[in-house]
Amino acid sequence: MEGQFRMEHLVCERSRLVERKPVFVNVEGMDVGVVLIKDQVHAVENSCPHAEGPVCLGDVSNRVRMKLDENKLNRGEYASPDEVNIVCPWHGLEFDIASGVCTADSRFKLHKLAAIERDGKIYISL
Amino acid sequence: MIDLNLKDNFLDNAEKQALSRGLYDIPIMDADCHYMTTPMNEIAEYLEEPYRSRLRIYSGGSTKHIALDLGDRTVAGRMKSMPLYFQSKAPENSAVPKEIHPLMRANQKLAIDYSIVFPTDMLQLGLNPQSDIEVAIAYGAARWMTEKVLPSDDSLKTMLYLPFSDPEACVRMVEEFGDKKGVVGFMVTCVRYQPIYHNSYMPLYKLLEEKGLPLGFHTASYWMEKPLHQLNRFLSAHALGFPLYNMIQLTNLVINGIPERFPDLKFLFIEAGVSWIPFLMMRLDSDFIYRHSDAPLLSKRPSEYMKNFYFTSQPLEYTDNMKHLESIFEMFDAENQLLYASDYPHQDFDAPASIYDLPFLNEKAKRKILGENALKLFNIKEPVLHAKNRREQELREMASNRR
Repeated sequence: MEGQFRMEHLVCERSRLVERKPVFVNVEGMDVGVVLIKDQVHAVENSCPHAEGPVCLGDVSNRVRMKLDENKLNRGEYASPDEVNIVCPWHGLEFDIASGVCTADSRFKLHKLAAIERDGKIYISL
Repeated sequence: MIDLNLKDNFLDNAEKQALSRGLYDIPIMDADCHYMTTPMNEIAEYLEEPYRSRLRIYSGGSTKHIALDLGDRTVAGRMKSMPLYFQSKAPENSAVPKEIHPLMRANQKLAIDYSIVFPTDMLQLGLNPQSDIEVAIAYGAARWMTEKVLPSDDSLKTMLYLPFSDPEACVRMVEEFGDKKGVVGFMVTCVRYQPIYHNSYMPLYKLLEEKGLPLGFHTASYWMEKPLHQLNRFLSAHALGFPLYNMIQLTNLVINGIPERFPDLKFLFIEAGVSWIPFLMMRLDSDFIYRHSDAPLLSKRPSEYMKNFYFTSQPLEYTDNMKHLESIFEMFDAENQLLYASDYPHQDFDAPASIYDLPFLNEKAKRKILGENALKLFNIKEPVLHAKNRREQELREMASNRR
């Protein structure tokens, strides 16, 4: 469905988005996942840069980090509250949703599209 | 908006890959995929007492005959292929047993025409110290496989489990099942401690050689094994365990001159990727030239025997410099000796594009690795494009239902 500007595509009403629950559109043959995370809308091509898995069908989870104390002793692992990853359900590659970069290997980067919020609606722009 | 969900669309991108690369138009054979659990109650019915009762799973219990490995294979649920396999339900009218049905669906999307199916749980059966139980499970599973699974669909093949703790029982297995439809070889699961070079196994190798049936060695990483027990992460045990047990079996095989004694017996090493192969070639060759008297049957370097062995591709290692992988492929003549394997539905499965997209392979080499090498090794003539046929049948049925 075309938006009011050329190359913008209506996704849905903003109110339809539920935190961490992607919705999907097909734009010019490309499946795109649109997901709301911490009040920010992200649009990602549903194809993992590793093996083309359906990355937007995977978990949205917080990055796991290890806490070291001042003596470099392991004080346990924790889910980092400010770092949210989208995880490819095929092979588990984790991508920082903000930058689209794989946390384990920066050579893998998601194809992110611009997500635009206007008049209570979400559009993506190719 | 469109509706995409894990259950229905998990492998849609694999189907798109196959379509865009023309993979439905070439024969693809998957040399290793799995159903997860042996149906113990069903295979028990093929056995006499007391084994029939010993194998049955009673309500609320388990067989206790196969040790389960430790560790979280799905990384806290992040990797979905195995959970989806378990959630999948076969329809009432399914032609294939319910354990196999999810693989048929996956094969259609992965453009796989033929599959070697093997039970995941039995990869650890070799650690059971009760030899008669190993023999009973192997026999019951072979009956179920040859009577219920393989006749149900031409695309299904298997390498049957050998109860390796009993060499004579292994021979009986090959004699009874070696000529059954769809049995294309026999399998040694690698996490075990029987000496594969012992004289008691020579009749088995001779029989397999005479019948032209390949002998597979399927490795695993069993975290509770002593060498792996020092590793505190599943990642570590998984990375080292798979090549480790293939290396141990292959080393014993070569250094004891089994290929020299049975030159027409074909060996296949399964599920350790490919990067260990050059390592082992170079290590064995280096020691061999210093101590030929330790391996008196060998008439050439270990690596030269290894170049006649077959290997499966999965999990194909990722490298940012394709020259490295290209060199590895050259070292063991991958164009002729490598067989594509998916390992589906295990969490580190590879789609056929993992081979097709390698930039250093020409079209001929890609087709050989994806299908032709396996079809030749397993003596499958005039292959049928099962995946393409199934997909087109489904599309026709969908169109018909819409009318």
